[in-house]
Amino acid sequence: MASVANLPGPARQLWLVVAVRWQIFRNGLRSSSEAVHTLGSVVLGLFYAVLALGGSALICFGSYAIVKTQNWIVLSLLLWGIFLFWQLAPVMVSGMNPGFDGRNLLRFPLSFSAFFLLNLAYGIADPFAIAGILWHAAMGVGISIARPDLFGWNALALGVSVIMNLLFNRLIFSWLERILAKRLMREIVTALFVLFFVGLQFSGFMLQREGPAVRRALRNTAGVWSNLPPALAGTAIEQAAADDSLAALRAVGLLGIYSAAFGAFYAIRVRAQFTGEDLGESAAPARPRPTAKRIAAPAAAQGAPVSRASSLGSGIFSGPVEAIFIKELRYFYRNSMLMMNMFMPLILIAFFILPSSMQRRPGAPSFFSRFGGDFAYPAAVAYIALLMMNFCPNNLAYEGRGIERLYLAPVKFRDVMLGKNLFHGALLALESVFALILVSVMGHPPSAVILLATWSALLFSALIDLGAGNWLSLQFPRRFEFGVRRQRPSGLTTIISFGVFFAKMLVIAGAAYLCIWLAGPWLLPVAYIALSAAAFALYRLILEGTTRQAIQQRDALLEQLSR
Amino acid sequence: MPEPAIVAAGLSRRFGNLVAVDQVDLRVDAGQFFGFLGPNGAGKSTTIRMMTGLLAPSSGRVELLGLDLEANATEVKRQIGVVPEGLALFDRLTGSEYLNFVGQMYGLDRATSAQRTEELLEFMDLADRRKTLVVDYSHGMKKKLALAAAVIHGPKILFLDEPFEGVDAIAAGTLKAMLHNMTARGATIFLTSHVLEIVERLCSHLAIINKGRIIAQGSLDELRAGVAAAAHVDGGHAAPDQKLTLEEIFLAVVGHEGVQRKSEEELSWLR
Repeated sequence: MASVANLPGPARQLWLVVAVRWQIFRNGLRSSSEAVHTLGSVVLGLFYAVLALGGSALICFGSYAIVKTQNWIVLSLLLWGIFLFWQLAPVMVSGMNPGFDGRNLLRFPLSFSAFFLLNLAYGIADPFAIAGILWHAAMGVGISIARPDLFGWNALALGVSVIMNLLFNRLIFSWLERILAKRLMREIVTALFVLFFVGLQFSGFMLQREGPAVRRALRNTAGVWSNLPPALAGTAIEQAAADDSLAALRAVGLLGIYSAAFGAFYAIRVRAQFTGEDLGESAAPARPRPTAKRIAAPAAAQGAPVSRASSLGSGIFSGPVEAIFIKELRYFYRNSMLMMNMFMPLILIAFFILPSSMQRRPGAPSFFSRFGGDFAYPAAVAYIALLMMNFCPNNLAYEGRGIERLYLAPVKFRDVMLGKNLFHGALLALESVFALILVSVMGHPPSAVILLATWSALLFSALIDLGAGNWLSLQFPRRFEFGVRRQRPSGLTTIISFGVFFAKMLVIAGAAYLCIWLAGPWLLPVAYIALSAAAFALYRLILEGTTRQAIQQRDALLEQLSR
Repeated sequence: MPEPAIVAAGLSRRFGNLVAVDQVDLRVDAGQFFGFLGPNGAGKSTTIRMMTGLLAPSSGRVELLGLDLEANATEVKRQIGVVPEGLALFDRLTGSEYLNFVGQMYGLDRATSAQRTEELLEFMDLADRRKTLVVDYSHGMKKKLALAAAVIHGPKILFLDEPFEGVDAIAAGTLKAMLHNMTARGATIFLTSHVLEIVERLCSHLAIINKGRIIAQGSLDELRAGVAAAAHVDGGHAAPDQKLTLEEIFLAVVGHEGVQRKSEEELSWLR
């Protein structure tokens, strides 16, 4: 009888998992596309690092000043700010860290403690968490320089605060993962997110209008919110500074209790995963059929003649282009994340305009007059273009294994890309018309010259984005999953997209400046149409090259998207 | 002599230092039901991927229906159907939408595509799941949908990579009948499967690939005779007229002595 091996301890198990992740990462670098992606991630990582370190310096100086001026309430507010950033930013912004899928590890005899620690470690690997930890440390440094005698309390309170933030973040994400596992819940949560962000727009307006009342309410409820977890570390340091060690200990103890409670609730979720909870969208079991129906083989399988390429109903584009367009439309309305990108700009534009329309008193400058009247619509369209063009640089992301069908079918990739571009272009056109209606109803319509200039600039911008997007999508593809928020394209795609965006804006702004300086606004549409013609030539060149590019990139695309 | 439907000449594929497919020469005549066998990692799927345009060969060429695949990719692809290893499904379309999409991608007009979609869904027993997203299909249902997609345009050659894996016995019977009908009407089918009984029952001709090289090719009777003759020369007991099963042929060609030795000598700690 074969003997069964003894289990290694949690530390050894953790080390084994870390080693295998490192090995997977190193093996991934054998593929050139993965190496390019890693390079992009490093560059972006440096960018984030500069931001995080800059923030750290500010927080360090700020904390020093707070302690010197004994303005303790600001310390608590600062801790609230870090807390909100740590918890909300990863939900709102595409993060860098990979999701922890513990199910792959469950086949091994991994102990629960090792599994729990691994889950937790993924939370620390998040760039937002790293920034949060750095800022806590910076705060500690600032306070310690101002009051070296507070070092002990300072380290204890901020250390527990870091643990609380980390556990709360993991708790929120583990429950979000559980809730978002079902499609219906995903749609509901997406709608709630939209409402939440709309609410945020309103809160700005409310604060502006009801500022004194809000400040009064904040002061009156200070006893409540300063005893909530994010502010407790500040309260503890404040009490320690006032030589009230008992009160400081009480605040740290309360923070510890909160952390333990978050940890316990988090452990419940991890335990559920550990015992085999499947959050995937499992395949529905096939309904058994009582009897097998014997029917004649379909015409297609009876040697019906091979189809001939035909033009479909539209008569303008070929059948495959139309098929891709319809498929994109279906993928769009089944993807809540993409749908949100469609509705968010309009909602945000409405709420940028609404408060200024609502608060306008007779004779006071309106939103429109403040921005030169006519410029509300160009600003709205620029905002739409910025958000909507997120679709372009990784436009094969959701194909999954379907990418093989695109290679197997008798179509040129030019047609595939054209179908996708037409869909994205149609979305953009629709959005800009909606924005025009919105701006016209809530303010006043732009003049004909500005309208023409905006549309022709939009055409120029869209052609550049679509052309660059096609090239980037084939060159640096990344697979995205439906309903998953924290996904981002290849690092190089992000960097090049930024470059294209700034170059494009430079051309648009430069042309605007030149036209107005030389002749006046009437020249703008003419200049932008000329630029659009040049952009169209470039777009066409790239589009025609996509068939060849797709063949060259075939292995990388199939490997990346259908893995 | 019948026209060749599939010709592979000197087909090779290297992945770095690994030679996955090495100088493969194949000829499959029109109307044949051709079985392509080999142990795991022998190069079957890589060969199929090269023959269907999913993978570029490192060297060699593929001709389908007399046309060079590389030079006439679009025209060739129009005439072939493929069920690849990964099934090539768009999992956020419903079964019906997916078949319609594939039909239109292969140039069918909307009405024909819709009509064939309905017929195929009915035939594959998927009609009551036509509005279900592919992601919610079971593995067997996905296989049937992929097969439906491969035939919707009436291909002259059908490449099937493990088409019966995960398909229930009733559906498998229906599919086999459909495939037989297709070959009876002149279509050529190129099939890989690890279920040797199915291959033996369906295929008239076979090739066996091992370590990237074709090591046997011909009709089942030719392979049977070859193996029996080799055994006879080697002093074995098999007579040339002995009716060997495909499994026995496969093991004889690929080399089952190693399997026996391994099971007897190695992994002693498992006993």
